[in-house]
Amino acid sequence: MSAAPSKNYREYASYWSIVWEQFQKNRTAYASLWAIGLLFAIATFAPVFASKIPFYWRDESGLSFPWFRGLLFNRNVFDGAVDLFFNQLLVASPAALVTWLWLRRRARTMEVRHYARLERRVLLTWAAAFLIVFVVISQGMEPRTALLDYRARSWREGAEGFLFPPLRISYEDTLHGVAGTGVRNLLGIDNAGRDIFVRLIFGTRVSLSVGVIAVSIYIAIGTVLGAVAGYFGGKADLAIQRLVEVFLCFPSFFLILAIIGFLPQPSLIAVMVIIGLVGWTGPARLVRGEFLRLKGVDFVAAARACGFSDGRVIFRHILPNAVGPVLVNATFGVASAVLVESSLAFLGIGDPTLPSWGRILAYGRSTGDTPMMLIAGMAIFVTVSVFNLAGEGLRDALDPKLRK
Amino acid sequence: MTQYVIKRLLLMVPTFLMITVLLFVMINVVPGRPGGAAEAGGGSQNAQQSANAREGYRLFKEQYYLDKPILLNFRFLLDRQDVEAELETIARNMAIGQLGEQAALEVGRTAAEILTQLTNTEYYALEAQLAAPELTPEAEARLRVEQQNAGFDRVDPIRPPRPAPGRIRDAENRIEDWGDEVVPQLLEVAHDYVHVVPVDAAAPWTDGHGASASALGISPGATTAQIDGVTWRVDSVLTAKVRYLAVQRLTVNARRRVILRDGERGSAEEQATNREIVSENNRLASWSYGLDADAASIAETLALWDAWYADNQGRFTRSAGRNAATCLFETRFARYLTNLFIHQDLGISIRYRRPVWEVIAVHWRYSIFLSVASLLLSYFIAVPLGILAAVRQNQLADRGVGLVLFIFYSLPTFFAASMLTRYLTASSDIEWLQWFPVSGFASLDATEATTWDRLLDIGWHMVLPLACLTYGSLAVLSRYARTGLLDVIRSDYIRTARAKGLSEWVVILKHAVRNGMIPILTLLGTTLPVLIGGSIIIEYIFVIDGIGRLMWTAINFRDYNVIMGVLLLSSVLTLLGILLSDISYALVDPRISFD
Repeated sequence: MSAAPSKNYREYASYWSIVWEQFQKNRTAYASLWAIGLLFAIATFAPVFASKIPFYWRDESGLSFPWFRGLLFNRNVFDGAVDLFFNQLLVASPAALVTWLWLRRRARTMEVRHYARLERRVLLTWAAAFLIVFVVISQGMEPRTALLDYRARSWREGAEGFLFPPLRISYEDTLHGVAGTGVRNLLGIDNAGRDIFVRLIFGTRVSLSVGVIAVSIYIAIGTVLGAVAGYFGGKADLAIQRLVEVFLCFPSFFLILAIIGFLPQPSLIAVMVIIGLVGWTGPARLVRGEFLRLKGVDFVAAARACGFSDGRVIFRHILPNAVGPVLVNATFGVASAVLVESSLAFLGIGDPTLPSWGRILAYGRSTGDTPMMLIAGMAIFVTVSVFNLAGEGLRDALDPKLRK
Repeated sequence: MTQYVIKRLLLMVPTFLMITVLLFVMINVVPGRPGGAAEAGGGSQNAQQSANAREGYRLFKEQYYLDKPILLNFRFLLDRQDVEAELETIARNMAIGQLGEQAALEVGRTAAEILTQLTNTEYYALEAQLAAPELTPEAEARLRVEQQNAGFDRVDPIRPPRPAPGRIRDAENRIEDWGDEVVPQLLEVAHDYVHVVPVDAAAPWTDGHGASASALGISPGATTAQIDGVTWRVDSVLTAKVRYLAVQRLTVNARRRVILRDGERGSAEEQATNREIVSENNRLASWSYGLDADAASIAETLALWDAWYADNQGRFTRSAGRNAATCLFETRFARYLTNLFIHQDLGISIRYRRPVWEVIAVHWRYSIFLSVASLLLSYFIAVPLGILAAVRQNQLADRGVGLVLFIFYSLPTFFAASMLTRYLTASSDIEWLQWFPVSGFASLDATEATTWDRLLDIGWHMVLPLACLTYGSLAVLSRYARTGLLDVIRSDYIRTARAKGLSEWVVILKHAVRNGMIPILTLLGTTLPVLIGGSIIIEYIFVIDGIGRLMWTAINFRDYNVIMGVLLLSSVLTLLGILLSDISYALVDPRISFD
């Protein structure tokens, strides 16, 4: 639970609030957490900076707002599930901000325990609503619709008023589409005539979504298997241990590459899923260890004595206490998933139109364009670094020996 | 200790079995068929070329056992009807024009034309008016509109329906994959298949069905049949086509598998057997007849087949035991396991046309060199750095080392490698920075140089790849070394050593380091897979023909046996590596005992 400024709060200082305080004391880690936030903000607000569609448009047929409509309901603007997801975040962000401010105000007047429940409910409602809208739009959308070429029209006489984002360009645009329409290229263009800067900021979406979703998949698998192995022991443990051993034996990048190489058209989603399916052994071992440790502790015995079901003991009593190391693992995992994705893109696997940093780097390498290589490489480096730094900070914050 | 090692080795057996099964499932479940490229190769060429491509693909499937079912083989249950159904599908697709069908179709077409004229009398009447010489433009326009309103219904000539292309391809593949398991059925079909149609059938092309002439109690050449007192007509065209196809299939399906595969030498005896099989196969290939052959030559060909079948009956007689064996062992999975465990054979590389063992052995040495050198290098650099950081804990040196290694840790390998090749090799723009060769393991003309020169040359080539392969692992290793030493440095025996008046260096290097480095040994087992797998990008960028590049090309080429071989081998090595690091752990630290 996040720090709710309340008088009662001090008295109820929970485990996580102590961890949070420790984390804040580590300046580098705290700064990298902000940097991660900034990266997510860039990913979310990318269309505000760069889009070939104007915010508003007025001509003889009247006033329209193509950008706002296009974010969710036009495949020309969002180009895949990942873009749609971030666009939806963008649309939802003002409402989320309002909700958050409201929650902060409530926190001042409410008792901590009630506030925690309220916060949990609000969070769950938000997540559910977000997911439902996402599924409805992504499944219910018809394929691409023809779109007015606003950029070309803005130079003709019909347009009476319009406002474009600062960069009138989308990450797929090639030189032929944009010549002579008042487009500026901040960092130049690549060999296919696409704007590097725009691809770079949209690349944030690709990297972050692969990192977060792949890691979520393998944390989920690993947690469940590790919990089962650690809690039940015996044959389940033996079988899961052997399975872990089997997966540990494969060089994971080989395995990922082999599976993805077999797919005829590996999409970004496939990359996420396969990284998720291969990487679960780490968290599984961690969770198993934690469960073995916690199984014999009094509070678990008490929970069992109360007659709670195994599922309840696992998920409500042991798991919350085992989550720390898993969280650290996940943070480092995001960094390595970003690396794996960009390595795959660097090798040329996957959708060639995707604005992936690894692919930008590969383009730069093949054309000898050093600035392009540097920019893309630094983007990967910074992203990987901030996640690693945050992971280290979290690990130190969780370690009771290092408490200041 | 011995007991522990044996126990661990025994535990490796189920793990290894699981690995093999997992790999098999992975290869067979993922979309895209092995050798799909080879099949696609036989595209739009002329008939002879596409027949050659087809035969090539069949041999390919046979060699890699891709014609067998994956897990269980129930093909001994196939009966005549199954074979007939597939042959009929193919027969319905055969070119029309032989066997007097052309004339029938001509009649049908003329009839359709006449019917079209009769149903569109109004249209044709207007057409005649339009043909009149003196017609004003307005009148013509009016007539055209009228004609359009009258409409036009074309009556299509009736043609036999063709099966969908997918169905035909499936039928061809299926009957090809069945191989010699359907030879008796094919022979029966070739002898006495008849296609009977009810005399008054509304749809003569779909109402009929195939049957055995002897079961109907008619001679194979009869033109009518009586079934339950109803007269049926024998569709002579389809009958002839199916029988013809059955013989055609026999010439392919009756062939025996060659025992020596591509790239295999074999003993003299095996070579002799192989030659015998090939010559018999070639003989069988010529025992067919054309679609327009007369009865005498057909009978002659069938007599050849009958004699051959009588000689080779042993191959085709079935018993319960044999069926069970077929069901379990004539499968891809069984073949894969027997090859692996009994023949220690990983199969043949589709790309190199050589046994996978050889291919891997050729490429392996480069990767082993890189991995071992990088492992040694990283330990040599990381351990002293870790010791330094521990001795100067929280001082400038510690933080500096930590920072630099952290940057290395987060720096993507491919980025660093690309930048290094861009600036420090012959491709650099700056002339005095062109220190290193761009790529390769050694210079191409290195064979003529002396041994020393060659070593130097290889070393020169390996500087950048080794640097790129090593720098990433330094952070983890040195951190382990640092914490390992810090754990030890506070213990009593170190204080004792200092109290004895030993110099700080002796205390650290002789007393502390020995115990403090134990944790770093455990890392040996886990770095191994990283080293094996991690070199793919390095080898890709620096064009070194190691395992990583082999894997990369194999994936692009769908060379399944090589992929399986590499994954199997590296997993076994990793298993052994983990075991070794556990044993060395016990050897180094007397406190640890596995007994």
